[in-house]
Amino acid sequence: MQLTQKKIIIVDDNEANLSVGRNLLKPYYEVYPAPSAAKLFNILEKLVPDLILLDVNMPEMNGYETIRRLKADKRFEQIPVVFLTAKNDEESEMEGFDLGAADYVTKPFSGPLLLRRISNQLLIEQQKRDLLASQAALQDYADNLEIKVREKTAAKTIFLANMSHELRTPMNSIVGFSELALDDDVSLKTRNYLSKILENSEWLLHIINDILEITNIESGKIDLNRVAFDLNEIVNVCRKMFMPKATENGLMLNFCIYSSIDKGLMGDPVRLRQALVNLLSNAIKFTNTGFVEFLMEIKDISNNTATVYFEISDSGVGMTPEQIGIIFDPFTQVEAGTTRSHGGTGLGLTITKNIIEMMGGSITVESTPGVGSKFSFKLTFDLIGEDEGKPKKRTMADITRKPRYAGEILICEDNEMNQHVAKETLAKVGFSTVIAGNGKIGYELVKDRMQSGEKLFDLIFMDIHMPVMDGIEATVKINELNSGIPIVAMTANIMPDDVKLYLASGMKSCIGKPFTFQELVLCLNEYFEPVSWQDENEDESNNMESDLRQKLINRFVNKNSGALNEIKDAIRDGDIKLAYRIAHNLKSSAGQLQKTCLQIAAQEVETSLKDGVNKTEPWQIGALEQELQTVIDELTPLVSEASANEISEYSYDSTAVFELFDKLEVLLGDSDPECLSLVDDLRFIKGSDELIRQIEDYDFKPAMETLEKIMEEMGLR
Amino acid sequence: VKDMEKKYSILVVDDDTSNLMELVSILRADYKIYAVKDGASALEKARESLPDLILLDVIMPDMNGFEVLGELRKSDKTKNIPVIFITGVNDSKSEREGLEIGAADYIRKPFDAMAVKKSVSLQLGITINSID
Repeated sequence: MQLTQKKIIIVDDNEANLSVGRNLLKPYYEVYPAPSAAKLFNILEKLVPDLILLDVNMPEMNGYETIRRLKADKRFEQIPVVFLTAKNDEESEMEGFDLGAADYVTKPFSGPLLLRRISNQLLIEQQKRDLLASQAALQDYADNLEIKVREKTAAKTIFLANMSHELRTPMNSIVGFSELALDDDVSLKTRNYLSKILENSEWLLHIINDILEITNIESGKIDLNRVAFDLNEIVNVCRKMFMPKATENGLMLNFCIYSSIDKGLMGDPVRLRQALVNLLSNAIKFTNTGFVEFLMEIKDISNNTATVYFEISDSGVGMTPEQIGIIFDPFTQVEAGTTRSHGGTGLGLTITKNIIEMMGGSITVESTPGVGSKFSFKLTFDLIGEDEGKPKKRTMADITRKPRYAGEILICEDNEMNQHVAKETLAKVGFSTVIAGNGKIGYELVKDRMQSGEKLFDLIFMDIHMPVMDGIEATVKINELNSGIPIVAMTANIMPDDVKLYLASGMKSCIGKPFTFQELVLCLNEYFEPVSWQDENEDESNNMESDLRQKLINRFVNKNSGALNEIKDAIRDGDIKLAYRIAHNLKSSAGQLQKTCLQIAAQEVETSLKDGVNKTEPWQIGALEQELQTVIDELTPLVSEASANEISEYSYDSTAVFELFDKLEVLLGDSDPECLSLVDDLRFIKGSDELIRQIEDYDFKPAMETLEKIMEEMGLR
Repeated sequence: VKDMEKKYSILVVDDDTSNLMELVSILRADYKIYAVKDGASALEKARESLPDLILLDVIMPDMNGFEVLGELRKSDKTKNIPVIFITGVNDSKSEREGLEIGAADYIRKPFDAMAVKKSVSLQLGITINSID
């Protein structure tokens, strides 16, 4: 029946028992008799039996001692041992079981019983093995399944990473060019469209980032930073960020800082800020009237740690307990109705909760429908140790002022649109730039400068995917030159694994495309000290040369202080066309200085004066008066005396105009595009709009004709 | 250095303003540039100023780049001015034809600043150190 016979060792010091047993088993099994335990272990060195029959009472080493040794040896512990005991020795039987015996047979043994007991044991062993085999198979299957799931998840993550790259790349152009276009002298209507494009692109980008972030969180790919930071700075940034929105919505936004901390903390300031910003923006979003309050308190401070309590509460719509139960689930927002009115992906709270938990805290929510909500959490931070340095003062961008820097930056980037955006945006904050279309060109530019002793670049922005030589290789090669120039990755691939790779290849940091102006400033601040600052309220367009701006301010105050009276006088005199022209000019001038409110008020009046018919309402004139006064009051202190005269002279100084036109005539006649550099000066001359447009369109011939006409009209011909 | 380099002048011809703008921005630091937007003006300007090199768009209304080149070749004064054609990215037919009728080189849109500089400097026989 059996192809291979099972092997049994029978151990007994009694020669007679040994021989009986052997004869009994021989027809069915391969039997090895062992007259002592020592002999058993000798045999075991040569073969592993399927079963051992073991006598209990033996001299030298008895059955118990033998089984202990068998069970202690990995090679033999699985072999079933059946004890041969004296009759009615229940104690021995129990002890035998305790030591791991599989069964026992009392001596003198009956042949059939012994055979049955043995075959039972062997069957059990066989079943054990079968079971183990099927368990292993099951495990294999489960492992395979897990590998497959992991592969699928990895594929999903890669897909999302790729998609985010694909989505972010065109967004870079949309956001970048909208921002740049807004800085140009564009009509109010176009400006309005552009703002909407920008606003919506930023929102879309925000959603893409949220989805990417949740993917990272789900795949456990987010690592917290550990850097020195200043908690107060984070609070200040939040305050500045939300104050305008709260005021606009008619909400009270209170910041209660119960105890501040003058020591720097260690942690991830960017993630902490992200959590606070998410909670504050939610609070403001879901509060129609009343207040939003941010509370911060140092709960506990020791020599090396500080525990900080954060609370964001509001008098908003509130939530029911059921709603609270689901707000942290991804992609959920309470009530379909509110989703529509409040917008968003519903990912903010999921992300926030994860961030807080990663930092070792847990978020608590209390809320009553119609009364308000309160989100709170406590985090413990290490205080800055002596060797860990001071918090960087400039980890957060001052969001109300725009910096100006000085320096030269190399941009390694193959995509022309991106080149353009980076170049123009950097120019806005004062940098000169050199573009390299791939890593190799960038590397060689650096090398050439080093060899020729020319001034080195102050910073390199490095795209990753480029033809010829990619950003990683270029970084390695540039760093081999020991130029000391910091290299920053500028790329749409910003999954944590990617970023790790960039840092590992020697880049200092990373800025994701598309970047907002704020993000760029944040990044630049790591490497540059601003040489000066510009107030955003005072100047929204940094590409305007400061002297040009000064000229515009001087001109505006000089020319427009009486504009409203001129309009009123013209209307009174029935010269609606004159009134229209003055309003039109006022609108343009306001636009040049980015005084949007005045611009809009002037446009209202202008529209109402169209086609020689006066349709102005008293409130329109009133609004214009108010806005104009505000702007004049604001700009008057900025007028520089010396140039004030110069500029007012200038607009009438025919010599200067003549010189300008003279130069322009030569350049236009020569089809020399350098004439574009005169456009800024041309803007001071009334009626040159058409000329400027033609020059900017490179229509130099028609421009020449227009110039002739203007000169004739002005009596310069 | 600048003055030395600026002794060369280049006539850039393209009916598309943004192309013109881009080429001018790539080249203006190193060369004296003339920019015109149509073939007739290009011929006029070429005869008048005798530029050292012409960058000429192939596809233009009224008179295309091939016709302009043909006209230039008819006059002793202008026949030796090297012409680099500006072609679209998938326009190998124009590139071939252009080279056959005597273009010195062609550059493709969208422009790669380094490639433009390189082929221009090659034509002008200048070696710029920063390019290998």
